[in-house]
Amino acid sequence: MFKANDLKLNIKQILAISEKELKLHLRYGFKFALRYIKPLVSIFIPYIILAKIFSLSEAFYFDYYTEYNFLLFLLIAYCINYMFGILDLYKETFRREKIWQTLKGLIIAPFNRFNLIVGLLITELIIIIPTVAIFIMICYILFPIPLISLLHFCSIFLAIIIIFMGIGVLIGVIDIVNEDISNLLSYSAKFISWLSCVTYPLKLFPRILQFFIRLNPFYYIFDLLKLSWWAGIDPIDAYKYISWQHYFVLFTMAIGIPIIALCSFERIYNRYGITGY
Amino acid sequence: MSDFAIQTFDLSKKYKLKKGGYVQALNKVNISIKEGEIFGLLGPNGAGKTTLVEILTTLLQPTSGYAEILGYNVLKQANKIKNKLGLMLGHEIIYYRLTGKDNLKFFARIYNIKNFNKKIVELATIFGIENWLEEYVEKYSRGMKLKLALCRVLLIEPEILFLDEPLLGLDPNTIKQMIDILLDLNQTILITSHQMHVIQQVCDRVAFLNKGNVIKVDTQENFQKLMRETIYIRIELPLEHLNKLKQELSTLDYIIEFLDEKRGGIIHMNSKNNYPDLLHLLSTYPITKIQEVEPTLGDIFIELSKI
Repeated sequence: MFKANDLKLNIKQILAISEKELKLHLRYGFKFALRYIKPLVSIFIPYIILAKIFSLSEAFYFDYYTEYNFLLFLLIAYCINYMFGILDLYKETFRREKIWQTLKGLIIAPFNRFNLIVGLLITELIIIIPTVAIFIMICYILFPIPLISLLHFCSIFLAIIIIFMGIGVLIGVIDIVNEDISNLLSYSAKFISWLSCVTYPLKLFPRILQFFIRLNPFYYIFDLLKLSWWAGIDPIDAYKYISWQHYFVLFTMAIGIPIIALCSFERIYNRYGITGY
Repeated sequence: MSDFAIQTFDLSKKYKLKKGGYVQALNKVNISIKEGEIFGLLGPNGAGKTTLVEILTTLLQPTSGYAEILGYNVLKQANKIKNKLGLMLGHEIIYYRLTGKDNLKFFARIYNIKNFNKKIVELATIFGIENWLEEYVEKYSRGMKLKLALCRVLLIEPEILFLDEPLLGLDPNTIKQMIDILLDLNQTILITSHQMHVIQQVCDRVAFLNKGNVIKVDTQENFQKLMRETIYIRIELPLEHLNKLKQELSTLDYIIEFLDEKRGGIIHMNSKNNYPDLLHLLSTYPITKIQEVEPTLGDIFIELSKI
């Protein structure tokens, strides 16, 4: 039977986890600041390269990337790159708590294990959202779109956060059982994400790579995110590139991955009790 | 409802080894601890003490057998006992990169403790760490970390305390202070240690654990009697007299064994009643040093394994 007190206690515990995590993050300010700088670096070089290419001729375009809008896609790419931190969030936290032996304190507490996942995600969102919001505002100032298009963009963004969280939990759970495999998975996830045209347009890649990129589900969700903004500016052009596959991949991943991750978390938690490594 | 706060029934735990085979960490352990009792688990490293504590506190699952805490099955009704347990694993379960106060506040909020700020100050004052609460734990000494860990456990007001090696590495004054605090609690406490003097001062009953087996469960009085009866005397003498002394000692029925050392040896005898007789014998030798040695945990195990 659901009780209001239970909800209150769960919220208290989630907030306690978030506050604790934030304090741990803020303990080392420079390391924390680097999280903001790293994604900037990741779009700086692509900006120089794309600016040079487009300056060669006004007639150049690669799919929906043109001289006039490539900056918009790079700003969105910054937001995506910044979210990649979620992929390693649970792995790093579980590993740290395992080494510090502090997770035992939570396991024996009258504590819903899912509060840990939610608490960690909230911390990450508190860190991510202000920066992402600033970049979205810059995009909005430079490339204004109707409010409905902005909401469409934000919903897709939220779905991507959920997908990243699911993958992050999955990697974190595997890390409890086998650190080696989780390192491999973590790297693979980053590699697959990299091979998904976050910053560069698909047409810029060699044909053989384009084939592999088209097999990559991340390509479709990042493509959809970028195109959802472009659809607010030039819907006719944008909907030439948006297909049902984009939405299908997004919904399947946003629903499937968190379910698989949470089931795995529950199973591993019960079987190994986190300490079973 | 059972009279016992903690009961185990043929509790066993095996750990699988990478190279194949198993380690039997616990082997059909049966213990019963009454409410309000301070129960000691004594054993060398690897005896299975921590494994037992981890199973009783729902951290580990046993391979077979089961345990009950306040009448609830640890495996099947873990959620009903979690807010009744307090676990201190040495100075573990502390975030070193947070301040002492942030650590205590965090766990108070997880356990939904009311008015925790006041309680934190009260407990810290009792343990003498109130001026350190705003400092990062990584700056704390070992003793202060242990005090903070005990503060954390007491803050959540558990019905049963599990203390795993709570006083290891502390100076005698701090140990005495901590023992006084534990004795004042009037709670059910399961305390594990390989420091005999700690167990001796705190516990009502003691279980001796070795290689996963409970060798003996006894009262503190019987334990102390055993300690008194087990006497070790270290002697030093010119080595040319050693063989003759050993020969004479071997004829005495109250001498259990003689353990050779570099400058003499240790005489192990089974009763203090024969002390005068032994001293008389030793006075006929040019003994340069004589000293009674406190039996080690290993010695007690040897004694117990003979019972």
